[in-house]
Amino acid sequence: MTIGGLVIENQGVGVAEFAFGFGGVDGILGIGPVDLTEGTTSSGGDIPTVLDTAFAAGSIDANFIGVSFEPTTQDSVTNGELTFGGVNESKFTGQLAFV
Amino acid sequence: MARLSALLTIAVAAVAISAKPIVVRNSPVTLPIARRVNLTGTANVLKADQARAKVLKGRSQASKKAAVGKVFADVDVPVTNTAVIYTAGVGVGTPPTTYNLIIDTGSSNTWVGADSEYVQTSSSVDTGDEVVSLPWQPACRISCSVWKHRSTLTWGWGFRKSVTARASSLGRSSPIR
Repeated sequence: MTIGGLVIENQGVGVAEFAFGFGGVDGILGIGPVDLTEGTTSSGGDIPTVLDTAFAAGSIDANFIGVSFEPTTQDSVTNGELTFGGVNESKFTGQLAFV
Repeated sequence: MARLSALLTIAVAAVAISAKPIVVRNSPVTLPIARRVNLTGTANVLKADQARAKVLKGRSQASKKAAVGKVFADVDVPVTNTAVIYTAGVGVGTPPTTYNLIIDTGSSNTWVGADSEYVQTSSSVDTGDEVVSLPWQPACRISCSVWKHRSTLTWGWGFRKSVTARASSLGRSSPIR
């Protein structure tokens, strides 16, 4: 699997037999916590997320993801960014707060 | 409307093309994501939000009625909540097929095959694993997707009258290089 410049090998990917309400998109890139995958398949247990797999392979230095997006008045614009394994310091000012 | 759809498609395709399939060891790795407005059935984002607010308000009132012993009245307002979603081009397989996927922090399973058909490649291995359930994620974060698990292999989407839960299903899970 290739996400931007990131290559992730042996990533489990679900394949839909049919889906409703996904006009114009092909599926989901789930970047939530791995706990949400528990018991979602017949073999049970967790399915490592794309982030887990990339981190385990050493492709990224940290198992977290940075997300930036901003309001816009246009219908469609590429103004967001995901940062795998870090945060983009240019996307915010001040200190990062952890809650 | 058709013209607008074409523009959206081109915009998303541009993102996919810009994704270079090379190994990057220098973490972190950044990925541009496209903001996309889904106008299906609703004139604009404002109207979509107003419709959604109406549904939520209606549900609240219906719950109050139910609480005092009256018949529960399901609110049946057709809305499409997915007014704004964020997508990214993700390559799967060797050679990679690019799929436009919704970025979702509210779920953790990655899957394809909803719109364009899944293309099996030489590096695709069928795990034989069936997807049996997906968790209900009520929190609306980036993609505003709401997954509601109704029964095995079925789930609803968005705020589309989730009580009736339009059936959808996932098939197999395959590790893909």
